Amino acid sequence: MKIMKNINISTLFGHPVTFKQKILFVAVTGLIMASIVYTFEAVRTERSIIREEIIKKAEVVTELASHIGELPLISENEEHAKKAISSLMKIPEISFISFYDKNQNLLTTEGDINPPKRTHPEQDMTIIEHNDYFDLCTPVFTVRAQEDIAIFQETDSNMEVRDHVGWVRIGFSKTFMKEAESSIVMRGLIIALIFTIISITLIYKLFDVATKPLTSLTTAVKSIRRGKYPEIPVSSEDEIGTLTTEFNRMSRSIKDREDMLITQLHLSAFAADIGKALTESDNLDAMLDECISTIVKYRDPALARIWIYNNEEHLLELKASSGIFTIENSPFKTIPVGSYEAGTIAEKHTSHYTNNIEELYPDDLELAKLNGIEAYAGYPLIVEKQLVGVLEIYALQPIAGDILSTLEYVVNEIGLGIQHKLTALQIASSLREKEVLLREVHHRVKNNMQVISSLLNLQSDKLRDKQYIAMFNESRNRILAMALVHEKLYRSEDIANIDFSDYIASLANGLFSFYDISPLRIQLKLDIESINLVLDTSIPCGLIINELISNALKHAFPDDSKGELSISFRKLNVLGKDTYNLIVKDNGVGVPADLDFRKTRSLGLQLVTTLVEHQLQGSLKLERTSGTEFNILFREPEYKKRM
Amino acid sequence: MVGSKHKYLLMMIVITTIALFVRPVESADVIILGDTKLKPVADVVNGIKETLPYDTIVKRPSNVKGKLKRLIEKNGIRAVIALGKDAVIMSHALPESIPVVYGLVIKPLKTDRPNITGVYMQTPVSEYISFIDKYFPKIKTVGIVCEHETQKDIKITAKSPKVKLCGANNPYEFIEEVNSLGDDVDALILLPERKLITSKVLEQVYLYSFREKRPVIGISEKYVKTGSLFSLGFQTYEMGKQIGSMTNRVVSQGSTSGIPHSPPDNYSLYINKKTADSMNIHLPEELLSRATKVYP
Repeated sequence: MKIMKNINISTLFGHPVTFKQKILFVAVTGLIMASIVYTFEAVRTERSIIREEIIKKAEVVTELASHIGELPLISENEEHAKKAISSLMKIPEISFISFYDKNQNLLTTEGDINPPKRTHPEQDMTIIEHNDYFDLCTPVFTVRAQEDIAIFQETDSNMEVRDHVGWVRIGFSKTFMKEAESSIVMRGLIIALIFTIISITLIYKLFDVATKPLTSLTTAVKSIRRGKYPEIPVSSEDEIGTLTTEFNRMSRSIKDREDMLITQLHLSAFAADIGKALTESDNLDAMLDECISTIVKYRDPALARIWIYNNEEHLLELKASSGIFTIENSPFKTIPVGSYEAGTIAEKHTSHYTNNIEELYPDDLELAKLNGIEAYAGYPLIVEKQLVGVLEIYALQPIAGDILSTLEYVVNEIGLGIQHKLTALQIASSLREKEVLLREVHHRVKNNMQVISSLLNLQSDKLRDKQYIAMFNESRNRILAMALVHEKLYRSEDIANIDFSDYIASLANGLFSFYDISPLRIQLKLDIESINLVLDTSIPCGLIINELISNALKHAFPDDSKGELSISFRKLNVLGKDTYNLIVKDNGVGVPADLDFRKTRSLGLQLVTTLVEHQLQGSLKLERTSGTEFNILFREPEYKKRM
Repeated sequence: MVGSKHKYLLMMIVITTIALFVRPVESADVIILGDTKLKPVADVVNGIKETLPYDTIVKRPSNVKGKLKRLIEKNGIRAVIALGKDAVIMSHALPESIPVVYGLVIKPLKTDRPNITGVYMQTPVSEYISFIDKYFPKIKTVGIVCEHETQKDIKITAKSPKVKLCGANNPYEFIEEVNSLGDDVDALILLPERKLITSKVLEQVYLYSFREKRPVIGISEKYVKTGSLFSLGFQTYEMGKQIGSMTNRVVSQGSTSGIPHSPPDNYSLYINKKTADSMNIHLPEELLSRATKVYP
């Protein structure tokens, strides 16, 4: 039992053992054991039978010999004895024959074996078994009639007398018995082997047949794993048949669910692609082309096209087409609302789909027939009850319900996308108009400021006092500095911001020119980052720079002395916030040590202080160590929207 | 004291006992000794009773062994019929004054006792010779193998030139003699020789017969069944009647004087047609019509 418990047939040489192999293993083991037991028992029985048969034959032969020996023993004649023996020795199993007279004297003997002495039986036959032969001995009697009448008539045995005349002794060889036994053993083994092989084959076939449905089910389950959903023929009404039926139902159910899932995934992918086309396309035409391409890609119609409704002219304009017609080769680029299928759909605001093209309008029918069209689907693209266009599908095969569902699913999205793009176009157009207007305003402001500057120039020509002339010039420069801001704005691509590096360079060059300063005498060094500033910051900032440059050009280098003027404008990150740093520095004579620029009567410096600290809400620091350096820090203020 | 009632009862018991154990005296003229359990003996006894006009009693020899003489004297038996060898031996011990008629013995008894006569069973060779002469003329010579003593009797009783006699002392010699006959004889007459005729001898005789195509003739129906061409055999009942008649004469004259040992008066003819066919022996119609039984 312990051994049996230790036998594990769940694996064989490390491989899992199948149910069929387990059954075969048990059946084959049982068969072999049964064959061995049966063969052993059959051989044992047959050996026993053969032995009995041999003994019986020996007894019969001995009995025959007793009859044959009657005459030789009665007559005690050796010739008769030899004759009898020679006839008996023809029996191949006989090893020796001996005749003994009634006094147990050996009368004659013949054979291969010299029989050992033995006690002769009185009445019945006796058998002594030797290794190689059976030693049979039987008394020989002669029968004579007891009554005379017995000679004449058939009477009962009571009238007969048996006279003992001697013995006959026969050695019956075992050679034939052993040969027969060997033959039986060999035959038994061969039969057992054949039986085992045939039985194993039959059992294998039987189990093959029995497990075939299970194998089919296993194969089918593997197919399901690979994405196929086979149905197995139900060949019986037993448990296997029920299992097969339930499996088929399960397979169908999984297939239906997977189909549904695939459809939904397909639909989702289709919708996602349509959504992508709707959202990522730059313009309406590209969006519609992408939508049509997506429809063709997923539904493969013969023709798909989108008409856009022109409200002003009350017609449909072809905006996207793919399939047998593109926009370029389409026979119609526009159709009136109310004409053709698309026009009718636009007019009625109702979709129309059919697998019978005879229902189409004659012109559309002609087009369909010419191109082998079988089915049609058209949908109005309506947003908030307003028609924006029509989507049409022409198919070479009948359109299935799932295609219609898919199209219905995206029709509203496409409508919304079209509406969105149309709205975006309108907004962009409006913005462009406003920008043009703003540029015009800035241009006009700049022109007006230049006019003011020119007027001031003309007015200053009437003056003789240099102080007043200088005042007029300073005012002119301030106006021009502001005009330069407006000029940079209307020239800028971005109407709201000014590239301040460009502005500073233009302003500095303008002032150098105004004051007629040679760059050879005062060298201008600009260290300016490309920084964009809004108008509200640019104006005060421009005025500050104008005042500081003008101040340096006027006072820092007296007597045509040479020097250097450097302007630095950088964006810094101070405490996590963008901070601008403007430095205007010269290596000129510098401001007097006792000059408090906040209390000076110079309008320019007052203006600088006011603009920095009040308008820009920054800080201003004056360094006088080597020349003059104005260091200004400010953040761009948050301006209120001017709406 | 025994009462009168009990006295009668005692007497009744004594009388009943006597009646049960004392057998009445059997009165008969002839006693038949024979084992009637054997059917042939019973048939003979029936034949005897059919013809014998005297009262008879039948006794098995084993039952009257040592008591026969007293039984005869006591019952006034006038003759004894001895059937079979044992009965004949027993009757030899009787006084010569008591006539004995024997039956169911093979040959005529060789005895010097004058009170014994009877009917023996052996068919005389002369009967066979005359039968062969009449119906099988092609059989010119017949062989007979028998005991030497029988040989002498035959030479006396059946003196015929066509008979070739051979003597034998035992079955081996018998077979030797038969085989030595070879072509010298056309047929072999088998005689009921107890010492010689054994089953093995018969097998050898028949082997000789069929090999050499020499028909065996005799001894009785039993031998015809197993291959003899024909036999002349006695009939037990008829033999009984013959013994009965002989006994009647013996009782009438009071002795066996003048009454010789006799063979059977009547014979039954049995024929084996197959044997005849195998040996190309023609069976005349007359012969077939006479046959008691023809084995096909």
